[in-house]
Amino acid sequence: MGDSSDFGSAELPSAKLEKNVCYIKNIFKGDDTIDYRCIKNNSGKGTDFCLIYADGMVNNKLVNDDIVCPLMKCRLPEDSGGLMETLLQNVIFSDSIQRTAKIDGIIQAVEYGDTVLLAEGCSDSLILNTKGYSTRSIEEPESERVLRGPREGFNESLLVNLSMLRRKLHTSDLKMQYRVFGRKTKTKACVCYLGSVADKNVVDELGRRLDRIDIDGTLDTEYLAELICDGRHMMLDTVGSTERPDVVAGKLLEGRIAVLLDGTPQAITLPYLFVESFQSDEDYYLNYVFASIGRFLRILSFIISTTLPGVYIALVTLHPEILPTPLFVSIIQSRQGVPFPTTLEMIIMLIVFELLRESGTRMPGVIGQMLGVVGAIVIGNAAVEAKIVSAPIIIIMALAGITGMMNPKIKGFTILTRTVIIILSTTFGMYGLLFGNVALLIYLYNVTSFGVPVMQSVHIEKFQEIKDIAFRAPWNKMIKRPSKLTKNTTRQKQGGAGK
Amino acid sequence: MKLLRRLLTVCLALLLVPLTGCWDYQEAENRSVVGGMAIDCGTGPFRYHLTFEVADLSDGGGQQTKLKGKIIEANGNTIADAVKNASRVSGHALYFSDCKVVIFSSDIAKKGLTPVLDWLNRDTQPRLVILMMVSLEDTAGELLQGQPSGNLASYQISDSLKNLSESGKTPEVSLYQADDIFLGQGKDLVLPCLRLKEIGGKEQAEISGTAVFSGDRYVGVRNEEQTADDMLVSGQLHKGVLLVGEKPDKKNITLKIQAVCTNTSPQLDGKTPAMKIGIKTKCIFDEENSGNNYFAQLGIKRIEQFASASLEEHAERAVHEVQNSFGCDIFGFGRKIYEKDPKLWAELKPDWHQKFRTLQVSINAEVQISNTGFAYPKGYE
Repeated sequence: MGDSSDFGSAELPSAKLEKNVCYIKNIFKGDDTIDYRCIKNNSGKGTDFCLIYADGMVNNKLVNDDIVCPLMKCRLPEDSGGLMETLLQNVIFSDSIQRTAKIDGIIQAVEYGDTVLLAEGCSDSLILNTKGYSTRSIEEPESERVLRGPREGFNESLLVNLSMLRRKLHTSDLKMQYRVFGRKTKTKACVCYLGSVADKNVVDELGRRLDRIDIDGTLDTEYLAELICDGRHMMLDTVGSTERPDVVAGKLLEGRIAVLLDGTPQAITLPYLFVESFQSDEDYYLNYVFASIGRFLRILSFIISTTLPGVYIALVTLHPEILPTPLFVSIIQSRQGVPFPTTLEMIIMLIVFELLRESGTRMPGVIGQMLGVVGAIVIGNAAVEAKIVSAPIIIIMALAGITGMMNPKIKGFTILTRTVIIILSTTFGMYGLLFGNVALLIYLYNVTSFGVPVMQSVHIEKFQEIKDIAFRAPWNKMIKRPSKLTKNTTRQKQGGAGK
Repeated sequence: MKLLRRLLTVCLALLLVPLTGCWDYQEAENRSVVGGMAIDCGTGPFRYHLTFEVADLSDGGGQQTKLKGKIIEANGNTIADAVKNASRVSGHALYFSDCKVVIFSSDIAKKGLTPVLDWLNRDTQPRLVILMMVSLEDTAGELLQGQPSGNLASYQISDSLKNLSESGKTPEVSLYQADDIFLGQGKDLVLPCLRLKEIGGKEQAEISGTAVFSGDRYVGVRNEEQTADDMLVSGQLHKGVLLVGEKPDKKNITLKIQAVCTNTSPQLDGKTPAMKIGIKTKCIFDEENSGNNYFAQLGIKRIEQFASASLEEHAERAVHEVQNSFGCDIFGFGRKIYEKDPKLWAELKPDWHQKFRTLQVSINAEVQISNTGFAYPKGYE
């Protein structure tokens, strides 16, 4: 099968049906799933037609009832001059018909699930919309479950996803622009944003970066995300991804831009701020007090997960005078007979925990995850009894590992930071820990996502800005949108909720 | 070129680790936690003989919560030398950050404390809040030998000293307070004393009385009652009990002290300086240990008068005894004069010990009973 890009602007070779069909059969040589249905219409002097479609991609009932049937039964005019025009306007029952002679278009149509209609005596073809491939039904995404709130999730069909998004934002302000990526995959994507809210510069910049993409195939939005991200900042995500249409709609309302790709339920949103890693959509569907507690816990768990192992190592080996005497004494007792230095123990147990947890996620169902974590703790216990590691290490490992699971969006970043802080604490003690944190902050403040600094909401310039960061303020107080994302910052009129 | 620069940066960063990494890194189980130390005069060629009580953590711990101690002894010509020599016996390096108590023998204290305190002040590990005590037995080391069950002897001593100091029976003196007294003006040091006492067949250390110092040399001892009176005069009494009665041998009434405010002010306008001490106490009537119901007969006012008189008597006695037997200003009167008039103090300082002996001290005590514990008087129908 040749690449459709090889054909450039080639067109159908002739007006003779036989030749055209042969030409197309040649292009699709070796592909047994392409069907060639030849039909004859007996009115007048009789016209031959040929329908070309990919079996399994088309809705057979549509093809039968709305295309084959009218073609066979209709009365065609004698003169074949305006045949295509007649078919287009009077005969075929289809909501979308295009007329083209370009080989490119024909190949794409067949591969997408449309039917191509060739007629004797016409040098161009009709492309009829008959898409009917089966897709997964709309289900709640497994990784983003909520207790309360909508349970829809994107599936693999771009049109279905866009329809879900449109149902959330019934406004003409919602702009959706199609794009195609991938030389071999020719995957359709859609860039969505609210025209009056999103920053024009970011939209243009995104357009420029997407234009620069030249790749074989894009199977997931992650490909796009890595190709368009800022600079060399690979440690931290600079685009957010989600499977839920309500999350995407919420982000669009704040001035962000979403990119949806055919074939994957993950949509990416940009610009992406660091604090978004701690936000969950449930925050907005629950009471703001509980939501604030949840958010605070997530931030705390990130801090614990990255710094606790380092703090333990620094205190026990280099600064034991900070520990209360009974604690230090019991740590010494627990370390009697243990052969490895503290740092090595910590690294070994953290690796074991991550290994077991990761293998637990590959097991089907939610049980798998829990088994992985529990298994890690049980193995840890066995290791303590065999005097390979000391007992406090197991506690630290379990705490660090479990709190790391609370923010799955920054899992990779957490593990990397934790390792760096362990190395710094071993070498330089509390100084290492502090300098490590300073270096981390400097790094974080330098990361930008499409020109917007990712840490922009963490420090307070105006009080309104932080109403969605460490806690979630009630809706009647969230009057303005984040100012760095968009210039149109009025979210609601003053006192709107009271009336 | 860019690759080379990056490679160089990475190499430098990696080199940082072995070249500058913290040299204090030591695994927790390689440290011997010292709970308390005792300093004696050395025998033979050595000047000092040190005794350390180290926590014995060689068993795995686990369900046990009892702490056991073991004794390590070492000789040396200086304190630091002796500490290093302890490695001859101890497997691990000694770790002093949890050392709570240091006990000096009376011989060492008589020779002067300043040489022995130097190492404690300078070294990074011993803390400035380490408690200092003097041993009234022959040596200081034997006080660490008695092992109370479930705890190190030194931790037991430090816990009980803290309790005693809160109830106003014996003062608690840390290293930084002793430094403050030595480097400051007009006050002399007192340190709590330890004796051995037989408890349940074993000999254990018991805190009793205080040692009085002139400068940094040990000159004498005050017993427990005298110590309590000294604390009253120097304003260190915050809680405790007062025994009061009509006659000295009939002290049946116990007053529990809620708050004490001691106001010591120098009177410098006359020819010779004098001190005026005002003691205001707020008490609760805690116990009347007799069948006569004195309280109802005498009334609160009379009892307050008895209590005030009793306090004044104790305080005056304490001041006179210290003035006559030692001449050491353990109450800090000189410091008060220095704070009020440094120029005058500069004149008085050279022979302050003589002047202290003849210093006029007037004491005025006031006791206020705020609560009697009963809603109705005893025996009310």
